[in-house]
Amino acid sequence: MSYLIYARKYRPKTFEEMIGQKAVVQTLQNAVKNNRVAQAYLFSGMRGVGKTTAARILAKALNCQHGPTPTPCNKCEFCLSINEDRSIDVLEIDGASNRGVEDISPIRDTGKYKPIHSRFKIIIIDEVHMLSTHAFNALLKTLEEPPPSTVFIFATTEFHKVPATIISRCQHFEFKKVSQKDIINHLMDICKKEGLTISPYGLGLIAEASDGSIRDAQSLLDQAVAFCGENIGDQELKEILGTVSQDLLFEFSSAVFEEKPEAVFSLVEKVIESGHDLRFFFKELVEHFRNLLLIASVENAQDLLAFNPEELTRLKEESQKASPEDFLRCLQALQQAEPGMRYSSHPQIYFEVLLVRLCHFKKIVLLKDILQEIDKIKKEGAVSAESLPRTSWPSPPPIKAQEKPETRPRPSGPVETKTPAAASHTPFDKPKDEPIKQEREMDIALKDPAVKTFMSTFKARVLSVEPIKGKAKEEED
Amino acid sequence: MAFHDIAGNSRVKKILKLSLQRQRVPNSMLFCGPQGVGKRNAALTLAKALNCLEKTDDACEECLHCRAIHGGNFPDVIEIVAAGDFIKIDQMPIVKQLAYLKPMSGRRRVFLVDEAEKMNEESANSILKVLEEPPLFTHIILITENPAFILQTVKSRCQVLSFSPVSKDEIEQALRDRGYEEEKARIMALLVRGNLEQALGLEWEEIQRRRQEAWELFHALISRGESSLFLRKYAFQKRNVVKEDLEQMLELFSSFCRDFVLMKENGDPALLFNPDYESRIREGEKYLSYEQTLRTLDGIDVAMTSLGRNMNIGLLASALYSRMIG
Repeated sequence: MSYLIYARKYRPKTFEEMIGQKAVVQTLQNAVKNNRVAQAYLFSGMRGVGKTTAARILAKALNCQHGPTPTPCNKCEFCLSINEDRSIDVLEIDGASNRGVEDISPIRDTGKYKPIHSRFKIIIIDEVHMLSTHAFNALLKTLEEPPPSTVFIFATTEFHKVPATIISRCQHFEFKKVSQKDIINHLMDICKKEGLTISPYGLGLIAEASDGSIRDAQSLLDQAVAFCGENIGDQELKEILGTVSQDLLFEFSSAVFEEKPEAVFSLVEKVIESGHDLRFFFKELVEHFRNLLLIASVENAQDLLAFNPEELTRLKEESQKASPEDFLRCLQALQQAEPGMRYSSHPQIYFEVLLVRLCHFKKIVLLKDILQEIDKIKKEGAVSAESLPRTSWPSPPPIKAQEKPETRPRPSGPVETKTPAAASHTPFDKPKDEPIKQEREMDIALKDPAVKTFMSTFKARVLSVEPIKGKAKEEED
Repeated sequence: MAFHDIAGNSRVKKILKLSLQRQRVPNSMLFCGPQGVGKRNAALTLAKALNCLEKTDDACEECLHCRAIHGGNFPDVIEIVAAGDFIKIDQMPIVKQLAYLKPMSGRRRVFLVDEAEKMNEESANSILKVLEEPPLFTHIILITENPAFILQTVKSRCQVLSFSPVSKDEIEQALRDRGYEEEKARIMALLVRGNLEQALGLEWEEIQRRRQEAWELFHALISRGESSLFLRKYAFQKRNVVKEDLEQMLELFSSFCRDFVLMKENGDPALLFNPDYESRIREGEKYLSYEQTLRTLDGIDVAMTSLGRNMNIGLLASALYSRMIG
């Protein structure tokens, strides 16, 4: 009738079965082997990477009938009783439910006595970060000098909430995120044992979605089996994971770079209809922009991106539509909007407006290009620097601005509302007016070779970052 | 209510039915999805199906157990709801103790935690151990609208099922089955945006009246008409008197504003949130510049978010007012 989920069924029973925590496992094994077990351990790390498991295995290793051994037998009475959570000398306490001083005092008291059957008395406190300050402090004395046969093991996801006085009395082990490769291998093992068929691509999808947590990966596999039975197809898997289709992402980025805000609304509608959670989709979109930035700025990007060749060429084509600076700016705007998106009471509207704003971001003209333009003009000698007329400034942004109202009339968009005074603050048309006022100083400064190199290296970056900050300031009009 | 009586979300229903058939119903689950799409109904149906005397993969609605669960007096199905603003740690010991006891009369013990995002940090942490390794006869189902507020550690211990909004066509169909006219059903389906429960609970006249009222207030604000109406209505009232009212108003305001943006961008009028207000939207849109509209939207969003966080309503309303007027 009932079944055990994979996360429980395949909970490692020996140190060797543990996945991805080599350093921790080796240290613990050696400690047991050399009889140098500490009096208190603190295991920290993200969810589902093996903290509680490690604590239980360590308990078995210490109490196994065959001596403290780095390889507990899982056969003797002691190991079995720990596996079944009925050993009287191994107390596993839920720190989040027993968090007061009054809950801690009995633990402190039992710590004083020798174990009844086994070699060691082991006190595991899981979720230890939830103990109250008083409870932590009540533990300090016992923790510092416990009787030789008592071992404390604490496990927590939130290391920073544990007081420093506790940490300094414990050996602290940090559990790492499990690498995708390890997760895939582990899932493959499970599939073999359970007789499941799944493509390597599907395993990759699960591993990616699980974000380094073995338990998450196992849960997803469980869900996949519940949905499709023993043959797990890629398409069904995508449905379960809610994987967003690449086409949709490309449509979004095209709308942004081709400056088509009107297309945004129907696209968002499409996302909702296909049943995606907007917040989840938002994350995927951020990832997509990151990929674009990567492919536009790194030469051998295919090594860093897990895409097939067609997708790569498509990404490359898309990345031609704007400069890396544009991608960077969009990416930054998206990232700044992330908390807003998460807590907004109306994510759809928030998302739509955010995208409309992105569409209105103008293409960036690099300062480097502007300077080159000046140099060119100077060399031509047609105009002296002092009498440099406004119109000879590189023109892409101003022309854009003038084009806009024709192509898409709007009652009073941000483009049209700029007065000369405001213009110097609006990010959109910075290259047009601002530098003109300082053209003399700039001209002098530019002759300095040091300034020249500095400008060319840093200004491009500064330019690409600034307009987003300006966006907030712009609210003054 | 059997599974086929729940509208929409065929994917979720399929997963649940399959897992019942294969007898692989996970012991800890998290149902997430927007308001009013049938999360709780699905959870209750699952509880019935697990305990039903007649069927094994669905609820029959006729046997003793199904009826008892429906009436809320089945001893093995327990629902936890927030006491006040939070689900407090005091409510959790009952879950933790009962979870380890065999069911009294049914086959499975089922705990439903409604609005699981309201669990505060203490209570959420305190059920971690149960969620991780519940006995095989116990199922814990957390229900939430806002998975972002659920602790990562809780999420990772549960099988997550996400419900999507009910599609417009399905809502329209459901409304027409209840005797709505075609046109009204279409508009209503657009207005509720996937919230089937709301669609069925609202009266057409009532909702039209609310929208009329909201439009008048909003119009007065943007056209600099009798804009103090808004302040008079909301800024000097006690929190519990106007909170819900203001919340609804703000939601309607933001839908108007969003439609303004759509119009300003020459978007497709079929995508309006308020399709029957198209002419009014076109007229009202002229009062606000592009930037002003976006700013107003931001303001409303901030106000709505802080409304849920015990902010002073008077201050909140005044701040929004000056932001829209200024």
